[in-house]
Amino acid sequence: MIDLLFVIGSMSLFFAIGQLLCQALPQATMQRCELASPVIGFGLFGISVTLLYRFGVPIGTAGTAVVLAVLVASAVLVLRRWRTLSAAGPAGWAIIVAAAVVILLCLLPKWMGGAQFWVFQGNDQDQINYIAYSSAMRARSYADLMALTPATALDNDYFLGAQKMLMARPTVCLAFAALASLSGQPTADVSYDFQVVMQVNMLFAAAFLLVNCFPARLRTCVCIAAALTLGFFLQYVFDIDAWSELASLPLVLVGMTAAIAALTTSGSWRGVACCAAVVAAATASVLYFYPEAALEFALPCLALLVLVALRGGDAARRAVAVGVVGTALALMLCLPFWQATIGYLYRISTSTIAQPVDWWVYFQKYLFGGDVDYFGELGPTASNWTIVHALLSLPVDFVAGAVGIYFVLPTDAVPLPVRAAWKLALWAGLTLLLAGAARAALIEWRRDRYSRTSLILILALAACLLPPAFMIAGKFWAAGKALSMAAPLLFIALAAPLLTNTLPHRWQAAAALYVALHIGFGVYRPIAAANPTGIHYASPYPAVADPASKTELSWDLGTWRSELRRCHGASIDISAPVLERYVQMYLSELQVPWSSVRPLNTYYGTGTELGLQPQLQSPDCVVTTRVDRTGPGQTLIWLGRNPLLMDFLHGAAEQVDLVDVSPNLIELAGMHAVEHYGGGVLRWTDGDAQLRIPNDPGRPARKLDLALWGVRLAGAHLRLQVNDVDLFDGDLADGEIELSFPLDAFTTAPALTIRVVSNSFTTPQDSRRLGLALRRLVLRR
Amino acid sequence: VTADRRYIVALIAFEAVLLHGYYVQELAWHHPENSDQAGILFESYQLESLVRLNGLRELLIDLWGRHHLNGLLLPVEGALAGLLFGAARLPRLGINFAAFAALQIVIFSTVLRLTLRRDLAYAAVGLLLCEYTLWLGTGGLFDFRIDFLAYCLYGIWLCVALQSGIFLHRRGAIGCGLIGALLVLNRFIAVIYILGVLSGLLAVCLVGLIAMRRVPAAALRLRSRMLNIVFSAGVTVGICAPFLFRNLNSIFGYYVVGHLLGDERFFRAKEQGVNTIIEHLTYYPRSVLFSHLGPWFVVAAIVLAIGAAIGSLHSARRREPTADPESLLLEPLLLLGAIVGPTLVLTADISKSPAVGGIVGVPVVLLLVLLVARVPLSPVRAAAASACSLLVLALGVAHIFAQASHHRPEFKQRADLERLVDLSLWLMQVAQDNAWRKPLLSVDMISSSLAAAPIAATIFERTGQFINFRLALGNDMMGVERAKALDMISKSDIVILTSNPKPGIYPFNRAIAAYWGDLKAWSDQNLILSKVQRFDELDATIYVRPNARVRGISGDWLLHTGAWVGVPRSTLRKFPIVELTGAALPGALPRLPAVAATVDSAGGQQSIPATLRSLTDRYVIEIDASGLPTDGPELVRIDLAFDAFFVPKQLGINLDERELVMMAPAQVRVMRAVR
Repeated sequence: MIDLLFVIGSMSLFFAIGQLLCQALPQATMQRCELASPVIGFGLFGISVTLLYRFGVPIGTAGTAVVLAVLVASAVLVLRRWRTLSAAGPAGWAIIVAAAVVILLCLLPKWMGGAQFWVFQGNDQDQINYIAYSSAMRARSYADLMALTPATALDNDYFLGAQKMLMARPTVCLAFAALASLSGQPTADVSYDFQVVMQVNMLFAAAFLLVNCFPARLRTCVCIAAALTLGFFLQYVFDIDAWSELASLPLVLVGMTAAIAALTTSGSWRGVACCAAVVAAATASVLYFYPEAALEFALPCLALLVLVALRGGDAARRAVAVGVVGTALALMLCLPFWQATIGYLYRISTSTIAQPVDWWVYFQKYLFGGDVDYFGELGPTASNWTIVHALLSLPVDFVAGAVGIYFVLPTDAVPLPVRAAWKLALWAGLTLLLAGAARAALIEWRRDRYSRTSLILILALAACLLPPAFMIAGKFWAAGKALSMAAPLLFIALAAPLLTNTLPHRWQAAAALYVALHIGFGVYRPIAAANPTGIHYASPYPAVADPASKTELSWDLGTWRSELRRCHGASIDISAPVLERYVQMYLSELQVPWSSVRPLNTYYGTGTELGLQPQLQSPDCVVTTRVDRTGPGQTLIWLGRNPLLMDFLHGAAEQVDLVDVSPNLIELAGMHAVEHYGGGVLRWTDGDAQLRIPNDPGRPARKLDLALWGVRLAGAHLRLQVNDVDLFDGDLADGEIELSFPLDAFTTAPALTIRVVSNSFTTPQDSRRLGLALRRLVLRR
Repeated sequence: VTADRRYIVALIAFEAVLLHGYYVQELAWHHPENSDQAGILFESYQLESLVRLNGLRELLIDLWGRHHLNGLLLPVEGALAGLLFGAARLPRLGINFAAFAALQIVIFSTVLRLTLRRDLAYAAVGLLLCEYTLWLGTGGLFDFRIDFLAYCLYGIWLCVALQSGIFLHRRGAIGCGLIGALLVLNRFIAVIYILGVLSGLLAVCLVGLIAMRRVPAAALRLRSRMLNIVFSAGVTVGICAPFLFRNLNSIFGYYVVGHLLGDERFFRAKEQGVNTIIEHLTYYPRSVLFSHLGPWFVVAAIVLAIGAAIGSLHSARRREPTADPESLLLEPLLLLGAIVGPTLVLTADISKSPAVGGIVGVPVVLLLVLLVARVPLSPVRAAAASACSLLVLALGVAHIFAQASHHRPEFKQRADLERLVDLSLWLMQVAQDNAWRKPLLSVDMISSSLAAAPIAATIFERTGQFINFRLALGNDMMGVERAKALDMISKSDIVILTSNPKPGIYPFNRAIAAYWGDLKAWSDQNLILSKVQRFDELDATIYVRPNARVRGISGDWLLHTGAWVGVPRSTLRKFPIVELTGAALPGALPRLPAVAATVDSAGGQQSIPATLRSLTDRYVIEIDASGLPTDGPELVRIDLAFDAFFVPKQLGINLDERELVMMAPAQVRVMRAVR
């Protein structure tokens, strides 16, 4: 319920803000201008709270001030236009119903997947950064944050990160912090809701664009807008936890629509001026929320203006007016916080984009299908057919990924002939889809190259040129980001056969299927989110960077909230840095004093080490993923996710298999990652594996079973020790082996240290040092 | 049109002057780089020498009598150019230039004919000049190998195909077939490109025929096209097939074993930095875009596109109805096929080369220009569009001028390259001093400079003399076992060992690194260290097989007296054993002769130990000069005499009255000790 209230309340607030400007748009030449209101309102809200915060107003106060101002302004507006106000007609209700359905479908994954799903998706670090920095901005004023130094940051290291964020487009964090303050909810708890608000903005933005640029019916427009909102592209931006981008994309669409309306409005200059004002508001908002979008869209917009200007006459004057006035106003709005907007844009375009980064291998893997390992080295046994197969697959994989339907591609589990036939069919389908879009665009271009439809399709085409340009330049990550920014326009261009009413039905079929696939993907999301691990999609979708962060760690702090509130001090002992940061932030918001047992680091263990915090004298709570970390009288807040291990330690289970236990849970060394083999799990030791597990003398472990897979050096030697006592020391026979040892000698020991020592080897194909292949390592009572 | 001809001829003349100057300044002074170029030049120089010795029939022998791996005409064309113009590399590179000039003329006339727009015809030439292929060190105009010629001939083939109305006209189709044959005989693999493109076109025509069977005129045209396509392919295949069959084994070895089955292809890929599948798939698109087309081309293409966009504004004009509407579709399809087909074939090959992707350079130009021509041109903006086209030509001219004004990368290594020329001439001297007509060379690295072909080519370019250097060790990038390597250098006349480390991707280098010390020790022990040539990156130690020369040979025979062996005294100090080996002793000898070896010394004639052994297939004379004084004249003359002989006339064999003993030795070895 809180989620719904947050989303609906936020949308209403943005609608009210945006309506102040959008109601001035020329109703005669534009339709459904109210659709732009939530989007523009969001942008103006972001700018307002950012500037207020920048000049010393605490973020909670800033949010309240904006709400009060809007209430007053809206009241004045309503009173002035009381007579002209009317109830929503059938068309209005269609939009409201669509919005309700979209909001529900967007929130359902949170409800079905729980915290394990909603805390973060594909980009844990960025997501926790956004939440933590928002929390920091909510807690501290601009001046406080700017005064921090690495020494003072030892109290709370993520505050230092928030300080940096203040110079790097902080608006999305500030907007969220203000909304969270207004809602009175913990920052983390409503983070997903805030993302949903930004996602739902796309529905209004896309619908606004479609009804104003295409001759289609409102229902069709809303349906396609919903497909875009729910479909792959927005899910992707949502799931890579790119908040700023998610915030900016609807603004871009609204800004473009207003610009095109201004360029094609033959009415009064007042209408043009209103459109230019909306363009300026959208542009400024984009520069505040996500200046990088300017890199993607500046050139296409400029090309559009030049194209219209070349027409000469009134059109040229309008183009110049919209371009100059819109840009000038937007830049003026950026002046008070230049460093974090235009300054940031300059910095990122001269440094970050130029850096070669390989993030694309994970984030853009969806462009490379699921059955061919394009990034694997071609082995000496490979034949030319390997290349030919990959060669025929790549265009389908890549185009399917680029148009957002990677999920229809076959996986390598499908037999090759079926895969081949499947891809051939996809070849045909994609060709029809692209040809239909091209045909629709061509017909419109021939009909009237200065129509709104032509102009938006030209913009779409121009925007789609940047990703290949980046790709050709070898900037693959930038290319992938540019594609995700251009995606809404690409989607609209591909759906054009349904929107232009100029193509026969047979040409529309592929586009209809395409839209349906995106809607289907949106409807499937809640079902996928219900996965108990919290990982909703499989690779190549970037659903989670490190699956262990969800399968082994619990992110559901809500279930521990009552225990945490009772804590007078909490010691944090978590080796996973992202979870550690999340816990720090959560405890800070609950105002529970905390200290971390590990040195603080400016960025998840890869930044600068700040040093060890002064430790709490006698923390009564320990927040940890380990099973062996509580002292006497301390409350254990356990964030591990291995109930079998916990049950065994608490006496609820009679045995536990330690072969796949995570180093997050117990002391463990000398064991490689778990692999799947022969229908079970396999875990290589490096020749000297050690595990330490607590042992309750009241309910001691009495037996240790060791099972080995048959893959190892011939004549391998094993030495098995528990607490430095040899249980076995001898050569191993070939084949699979199962050994069992009594542990009666260790019943009183507080812990068992199990050591598996063997000779080791390496292979040309595997750089790891390999010892024994463990199949089971079971403790029994 | 006459004016256009003049302009194009003037442009080509300008290019000729510019490129000749560039050749003199940047290339003429050093050896031919790249293994492929050196190999083809070697063949061509050898052929020219043979023709000068034995007459023009050597050309026919080369075409039909020798086996060719990947093409047969280029060495012959090179030899003819050499015979015609009398110089070495310049006339051969002139073949590349002539082909490029022809391409410019043909592409100009083709675009003019198809688009009826002179500005676009000039733009096409400009785009061609903007391409970087011309300047590539590997596969460019100044690299005498089949790639650049194939680039030009493939482009001309496409132009003729377009001019023939996409095979609508029979004469054009035959012309196309002839040019195709020329291309295939220069580069065998092009047969796949040509037949692939023609097959695709045939399939498209067939589909078109089915779709338009109710439009009689269109169906008739499509039928004619299909027939002419088959006819054209027939001409190409008919001319080339005998040669292809004649060289089937070589082609199989080169393309099937080398490119489809063997391990070498993986190392060729690694050499180009290609490891993963995605790198394999994107190698040629990247190679074409970045290495062959290049930034000037991209800028020129954008200028042309902007011109088309400006030209199309305000245009309501539609394309005039044409008498052959199918060509509107067939033209871009042909060109797309001509781009995609070779790219797919090349990509499917695991082996990668930076030189071959350029084959699609001309179809890219043609496709771009024809697409621009399809954009309706507004009369109001035609001048702007034409200006853009002419700007493209200006960019092209500026590009070649800019490129010709730059030093090649080799210029930075000028000192090293001059040392290499000196070394080549020194090796020629060694070969001449030892009367080695086919000296066998071994090198401990895979090198495009320290190898038989570039050394022989350099010698020919500097002296006009062809010495048939052959390469034993260092000829194959795959690893060589230690024993085989030792065997190879033991048979070599000259061994070059280098000081640089032997890492890298070639198995040869890795293998050599493991036993390089053994090669060095063997060479120190058994060869004469004759020269150490220092280069910037490495020192090359040149060992020469110790040698002696047998004089006093009568025809091919040793007489019972009069033959003598000349050996430098310095050689005999280290290698006192001289071994002469020849064909088995003649049966006419009355008995096994005894051999006597004497040396003039200060005290008169001094006998030194010598033995003759008769084996089933050969004789061996061993002379032991270890007892000779270490000082004295540098050239030691060892006189040989035999105590048995036969006179053929006396035996009624023939009229020869000489006192023959045995055939002259086929091999002379000077050794440290008897093996």
